[in-house]
Amino acid sequence: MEKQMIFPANRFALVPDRDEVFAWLQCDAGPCRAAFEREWVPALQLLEETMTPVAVCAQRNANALTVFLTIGKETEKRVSALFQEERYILGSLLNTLCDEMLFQMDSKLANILQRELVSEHLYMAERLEPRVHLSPETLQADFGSLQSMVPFARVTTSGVLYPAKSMLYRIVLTGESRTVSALHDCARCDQADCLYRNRKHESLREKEKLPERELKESTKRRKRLVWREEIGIPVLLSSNASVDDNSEVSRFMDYFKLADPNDAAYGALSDRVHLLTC
Amino acid sequence: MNWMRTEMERPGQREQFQDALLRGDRPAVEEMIRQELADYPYWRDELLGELTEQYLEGAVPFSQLTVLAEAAAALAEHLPPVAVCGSLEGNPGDTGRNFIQMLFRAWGVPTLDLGADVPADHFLDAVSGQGIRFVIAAAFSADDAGAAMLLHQKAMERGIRDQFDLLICGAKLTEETGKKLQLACMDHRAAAVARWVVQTWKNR
Repeated sequence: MEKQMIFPANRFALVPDRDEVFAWLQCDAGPCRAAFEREWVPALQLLEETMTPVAVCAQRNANALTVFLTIGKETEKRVSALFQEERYILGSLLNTLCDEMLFQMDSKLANILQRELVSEHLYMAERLEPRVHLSPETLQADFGSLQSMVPFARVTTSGVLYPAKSMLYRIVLTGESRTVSALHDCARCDQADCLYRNRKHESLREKEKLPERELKESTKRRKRLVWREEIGIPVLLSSNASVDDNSEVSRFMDYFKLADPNDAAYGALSDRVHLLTC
Repeated sequence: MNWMRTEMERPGQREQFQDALLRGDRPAVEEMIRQELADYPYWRDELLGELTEQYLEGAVPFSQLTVLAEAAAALAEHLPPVAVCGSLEGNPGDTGRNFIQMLFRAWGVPTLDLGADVPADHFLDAVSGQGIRFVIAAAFSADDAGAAMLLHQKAMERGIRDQFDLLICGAKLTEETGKKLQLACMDHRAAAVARWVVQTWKNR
């Protein structure tokens, strides 16, 4: 029987971090900092008035958990209204605050879920992300089990989430004790041009005081370990997945990104995809 | 607004005006333009053009463009729209479209916003009814190619495809798809799309 869980707003103590938000906007220095500082308090007030965070999970079997989290639909409506009123600085700041809150929620929810699962002797093996691992059709099917808990939300046929300030992903579970991060990993996200990608890495490096070279090397090592252990076939250790030159590597990267469970062309990788998505 | 020159330009006035734009000081800009000097739109274009180029080269952040846009919008006049903007059908998102609207307003390009999840016919009705020259479709991912293709095909069926330039902003479609759509411009950055429209429109 499917198990469902709802985590309402009071489970998430979200605290806006001005320095983080300004770093993401790259307005932490220069002439525009004063303009954004003027709008910080109004942005916080609007955020408090409109944000309605909620997270829901559905566990269909012992192998997988589907998770959806959102900060609600009202804040992004307010962002659009601000842009219509030509209050671009406040709108832009509120938009970025929404994203920071969403990432904070993701982090807190990961901790909550880990505690809930450990109590049932279950552990997280891997986090599967939209478009990278999960096709739009799979996302829609996964979301179907959550719809009744979040009737205001939806997933379009092209895999777009509504409200936009949301995340939907699948956690692969295991009975073997593991220490795996359940956080959204920017390095494995297909939004290569995301505003926050480099900034989050920079702020992470700043917080953990890791030299840049060391952080990049640790990311590469993690990728190698995942590919060797989970796939079991010889693969290139680094490849630019955005190159589309119809080469064998390029087609392999396309398959890896789309993860079609009905395509058995890639041996052990295809078997793994079929296991995880069907 | 009547941009007739009513008094001689004072020394440093351009610098003061551009400084107010860079600080996002809209009240100061509004106070200055009450003097109705003919040069304000040109000074705005000069600064906005320079900052856009620097942003596209990665030299300044988008937040600086945002600050400038808020102040520059004070100069925008109420003219009939020449561009229409909307998120393609199936895409309920607003973020990309918000930034396109912001930049067009800053540049003074009169634009009609159709909102999110816009069927192809709504775009085309705007072209037929209002003489729109630029259709900017905000896309989220390569999966939006289908909706973009539908827009192009319906325009061909209606016989109006040659009446407008089609631009895609927000997602990278393949080059092959871009050619099939006869795209005038395709870029994930709103500033690049805005620059193309501005240069084309202002050189008319």
